[in-house]
Amino acid sequence: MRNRLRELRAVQRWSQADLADVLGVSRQTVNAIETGRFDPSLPLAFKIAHVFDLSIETVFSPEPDADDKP
Amino acid sequence: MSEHRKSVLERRQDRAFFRDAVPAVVALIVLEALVAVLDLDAGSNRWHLAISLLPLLAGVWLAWVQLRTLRRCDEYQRTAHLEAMSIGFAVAMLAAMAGGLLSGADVGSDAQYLQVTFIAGILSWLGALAVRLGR
Repeated sequence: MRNRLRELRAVQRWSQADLADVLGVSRQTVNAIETGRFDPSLPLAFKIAHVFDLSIETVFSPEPDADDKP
Repeated sequence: MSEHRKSVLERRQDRAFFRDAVPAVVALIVLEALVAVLDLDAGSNRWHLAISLLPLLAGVWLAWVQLRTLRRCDEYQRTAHLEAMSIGFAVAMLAAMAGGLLSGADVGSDAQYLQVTFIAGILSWLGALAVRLGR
């Protein structure tokens, strides 16, 4: 799953730890989500979207499937 | 914007871990030292056998500390911990299997294989955890 977390965080001028504090998670979790190594659970994804006052599909989008390519 | 500052959750987790783990580690060191200092004959004396197994209590205490640590983790940390424990378990199983095969071929001693299995399992567990959570 792709996400705009790093971009949205940069707009707010937040560090990963700042965002982690707002979300109540560890900095490693924010880093892992940003780098695409970890897909958050649905409750955490909703929380992230809520923090940036955006809809969940604005923050997260599915990876284009290899099968979908023309 | 420091990228490596710990979050509030991590600082709380660290404090809780040290509060839980330090007494358990101290107990393990004290009990191991006690068993090492006493000249125990566990083979023929039931009390000596019981005393020589005392460090196991500290081992159980440490397992409980690990369980509490896991419960305090957030979702990514929990995944990382469980993956690292799986790797440690797999390495320990492979080391035990290798030790069994070598023992069957009359190479080395069982005590050495037990120590190698334990150390290999713990080190690979902690190493995998450091790689996953060290970023």
